[in-house]
Amino acid sequence: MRAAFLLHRRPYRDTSLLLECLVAGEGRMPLIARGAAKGRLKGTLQPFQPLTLRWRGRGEVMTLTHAEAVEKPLDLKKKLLYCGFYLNELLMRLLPRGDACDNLMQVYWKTLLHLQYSEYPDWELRRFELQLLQETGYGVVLDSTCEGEPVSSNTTYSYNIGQGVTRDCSAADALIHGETLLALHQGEWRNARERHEAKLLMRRLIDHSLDYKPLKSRELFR
Amino acid sequence: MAQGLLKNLIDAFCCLPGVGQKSAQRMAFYLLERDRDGGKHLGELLHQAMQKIGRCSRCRTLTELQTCSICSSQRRDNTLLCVVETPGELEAIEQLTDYRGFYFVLHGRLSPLDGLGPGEIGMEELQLRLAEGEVAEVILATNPTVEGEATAHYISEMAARHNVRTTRIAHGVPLGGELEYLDGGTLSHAISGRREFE
Repeated sequence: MRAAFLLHRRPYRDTSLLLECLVAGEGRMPLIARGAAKGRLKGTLQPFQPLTLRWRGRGEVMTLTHAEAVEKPLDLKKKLLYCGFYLNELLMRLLPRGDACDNLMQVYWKTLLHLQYSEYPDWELRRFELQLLQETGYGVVLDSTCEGEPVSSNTTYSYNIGQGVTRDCSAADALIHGETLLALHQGEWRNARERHEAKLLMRRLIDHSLDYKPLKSRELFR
Repeated sequence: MAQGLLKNLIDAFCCLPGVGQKSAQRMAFYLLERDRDGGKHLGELLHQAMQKIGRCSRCRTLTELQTCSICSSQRRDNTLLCVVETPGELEAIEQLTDYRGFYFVLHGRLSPLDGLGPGEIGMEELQLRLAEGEVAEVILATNPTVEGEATAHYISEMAARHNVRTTRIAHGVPLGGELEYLDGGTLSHAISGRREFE
């Protein structure tokens, strides 16, 4: 039995579901749930529901043999559901199948937990975006510049995709305050400007890592 | 092993839900051997239906008319608008309940990972409908899934901008069901959505 979350499901043949799950120790993996489109499992196999799963089989897509809800589904309501969809889309797009990012499972779960109560869900998304990029190998260093100096909170920097933080501020559209970089690095923000700048920076980084192909879930926030 | 046209026919039947090679073969043999007229009729109707049936300009349900018979009815309550995910759900409500308002069919639900955003489920048309000012209550009859809830929220926000009241269909214990065998989600919905006993 492994802890897991369902990221996406779609009908497969008449009565089955094709699932894409985030599984502890396995990363993102596809599973077939035979007969699940009709039976009791249908209500359990939902996104944002902490699950334990068992499966068998060989090859790329294995067969789900057991699924259980371990606790109540996370209480994501209204706009928070859009945030949840956004997390799932990021995972589907940025995390390759079979990359067993154990840490990411914890990060995902924690982000969902925090989203439920956070006054500033946007900041939870920023922290998730940063950790996702770091876990999937896009080295994002925010506490020192590419010239090797530590970032200072009262200096203005710019962020060059592919290089990192730099004192060279000739690219005027990418300016970012040191305190924002440190806020993101430490995971704690102090003022609204930091949250705004962090959003712009993370959006650039995410867009770049997706080869500038748009995210469908962003349409919900408009 | 069937070949040529016969094989093509069998393969074509396989596009129907619940029909595999075996049933498809039975259907093809049945029509060819026992009911050629029925087969011809089916073929003509299929052809016509595929050509002519489109979406109603008001509610987006399937119809060969510009405006479907429900939307052009004068005897319905035009202050009620029930939003459903599929034409099948519209038919179910129409046949099994006393509801006599109008409908709006989404043909899906908000589900970014399936490529379905607000544009794909007709949110612009719904906005125009609400802006007309006739609708006083939107009944959110999307399914009780995570995607259905997100869709309900999206529509309720839109309705609020037009000062239209929104209601959500009740979720709970099916008639004749037993609490012991319900899944946790349904049971907690049933408890939290309890109401005065009359």
